[in-house]
Amino acid sequence: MKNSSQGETCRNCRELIGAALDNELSSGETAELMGHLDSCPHCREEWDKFLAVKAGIKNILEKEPVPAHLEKNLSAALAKESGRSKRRQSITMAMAAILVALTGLAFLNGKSLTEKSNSSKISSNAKEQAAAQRLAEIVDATSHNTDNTNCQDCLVNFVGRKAGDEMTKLAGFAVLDSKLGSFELSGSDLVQVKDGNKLVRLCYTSKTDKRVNCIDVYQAPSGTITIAQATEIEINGKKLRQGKIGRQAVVQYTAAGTDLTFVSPLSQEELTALVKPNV
Amino acid sequence: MFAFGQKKKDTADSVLNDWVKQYSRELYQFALLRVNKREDAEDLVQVTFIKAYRAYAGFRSGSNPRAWLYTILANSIKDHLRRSGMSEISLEDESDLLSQLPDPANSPETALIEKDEQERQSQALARGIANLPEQFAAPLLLREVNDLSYKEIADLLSIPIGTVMSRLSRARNALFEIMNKESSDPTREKAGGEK
Repeated sequence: MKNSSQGETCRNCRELIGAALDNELSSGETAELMGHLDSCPHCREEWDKFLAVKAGIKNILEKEPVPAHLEKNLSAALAKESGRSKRRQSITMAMAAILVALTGLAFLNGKSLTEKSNSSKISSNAKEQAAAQRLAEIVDATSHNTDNTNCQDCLVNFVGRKAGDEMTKLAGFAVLDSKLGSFELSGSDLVQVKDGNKLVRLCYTSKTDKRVNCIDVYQAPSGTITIAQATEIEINGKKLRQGKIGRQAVVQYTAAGTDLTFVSPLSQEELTALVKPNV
Repeated sequence: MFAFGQKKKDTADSVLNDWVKQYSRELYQFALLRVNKREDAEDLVQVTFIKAYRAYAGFRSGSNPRAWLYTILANSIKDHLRRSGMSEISLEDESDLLSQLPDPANSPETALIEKDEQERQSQALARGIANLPEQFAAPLLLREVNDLSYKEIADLLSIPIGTVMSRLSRARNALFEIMNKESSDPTREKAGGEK
């Protein structure tokens, strides 16, 4: 039986075996470790185990060569995407030019007196449209129940499960991990949008309800994302907005300055019933 | 007139093509070990580069493109595994990692064909890696496939170096047990021969 000091040496040694195999130790530390391994069959066994796994992975990679056509196919896919992107850009530019021309015409027609109120209406509408477009694109790209990856503006950074406070710090706004019936919080992601906005996507899953693999809850400072053509109902004196994105039901309400947007393939009624107690 | 926007796109085209040359192979190998299917691995790498292209304007110059691409790939793999019906294991639950992995005998067939004991072990290892929870698979593959240092892995995954070390150790122990079980199970050879 090993004495306590030998036991401690072995514990220390085993903690360093992986690091030694990964070339993370200094030459002095490695030499000390190798000296111990020469005299300790138990630690040597541990070394051999890790070595076998490393060799096994290397073996798999050698047997599964990278396809020769990979780079060529990727370059072709990028070229196709570049063409699409340039077409989209041209359309946007053309629409912007038309808008500028129309605004100029309106001014020349003597409507400058009403310009201020109109432009604030236009800008408020434009803001809402942008928020609705943003939500649709983000859901399209990141919803667990959608196959598409068409989000042009967002990049999803996986953060993992974080407590509300920690996620709030990362996101820069109040993130609320409210209850959702029998669905439980199973993951959270920080969604970073190219336009500078940050959102949080929470995923709620249920062990009992097998119809959906996740109810996504997108959270953002109020006004950042909104539902296009929403209908409103009132619950406890608060507004609950309802709508659809593709085939998915969407429900949204505002709490503590944060918009909570629930997206799910459940029916509108079922999703509303789940959300209702939190409003 | 719109030269600025056009220039940015041209830059994205050329930079992304450079990144394909530099990183596509290791990203493919990372994906292959996670999804265990060549076609899926190729699709995931393609999705990664398209997403990177679309989000290129948000990429800060001076940042690490490899880490950025890996983040996009890891998220794409996560979504792919969810859509394929693989359940995600809680990040808090790091206990008894081995018991969370499925028995290799019950796992679906993989692209790797088993012939002898070494190959069976290799196949069991491939299945084991594909079934590792994300928080163990990511440091392991970043180390073994992408050859990142512990510091780089810690920075990329926003976890302390000590956690990188302990997750690597737990992942390797679990995978060794899977390989060992494969070679010590006398029924395995017969089962392999029937495929």
